[in-house]
Amino acid sequence: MDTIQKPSRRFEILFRFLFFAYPVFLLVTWLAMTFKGADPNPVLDFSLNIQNLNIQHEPVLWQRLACFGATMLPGAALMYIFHSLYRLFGYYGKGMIFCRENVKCYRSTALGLIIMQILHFPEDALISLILTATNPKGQHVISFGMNDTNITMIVAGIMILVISRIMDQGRKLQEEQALTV
Amino acid sequence: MPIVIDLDVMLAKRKMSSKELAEGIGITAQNLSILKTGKAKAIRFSTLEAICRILECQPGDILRHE
Repeated sequence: MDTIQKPSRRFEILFRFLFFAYPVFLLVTWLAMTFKGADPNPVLDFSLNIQNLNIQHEPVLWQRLACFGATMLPGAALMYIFHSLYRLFGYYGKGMIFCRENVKCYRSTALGLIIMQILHFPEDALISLILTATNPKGQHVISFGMNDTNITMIVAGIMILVISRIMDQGRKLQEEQALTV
Repeated sequence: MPIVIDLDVMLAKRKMSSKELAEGIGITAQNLSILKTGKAKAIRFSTLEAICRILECQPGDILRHE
């Protein structure tokens, strides 16, 4: 049991920290990021493709805060995943391996992962609109996109849903075992 | 559960307590309670054999189908 409980407690602390640190990190990134004449932050550029937006002015405060809000759409889903994961590892840390609560955590993680990919659509659209809002007329951009990372995460979410069903079967077997004399 | 285990009658006939039976079988009093209250989903043959040996009875004396 020690091989599960000890590392689980560490993961519980990690995901609890990420749950609180992630929105703070995003806010600081959006407030501190420079756009003109420099490469945008690679963490955000990974999903947003900011380079193609033709941003003509350094974004003002309202734009940065609005972009933070837009990024928090999938960001909230990611925080939900962190919340589910720290609950899951919390249960593992207490030695609860096959139980109903764990199955719920797996399902929440899977749904969070799938919903997060769906929310990237409005995120991309809003950010492109917000960042080009101060451009001259005719140069506003609205951008939509999906890449292989989104597809991979959706597949991963479906796989975790299947794993949650396997864990549920394990729970039923353990309950039956507990009631076998 | 349609299968009922009637231990109380046999325990009374043999003038034995549940605690003594549990110790004789080698299971906890909690597990024996699961059996007596009808919450058990399955019983091992080894447990049934031990109960019959200690209570000096046949499986049919303690198992009943409703």
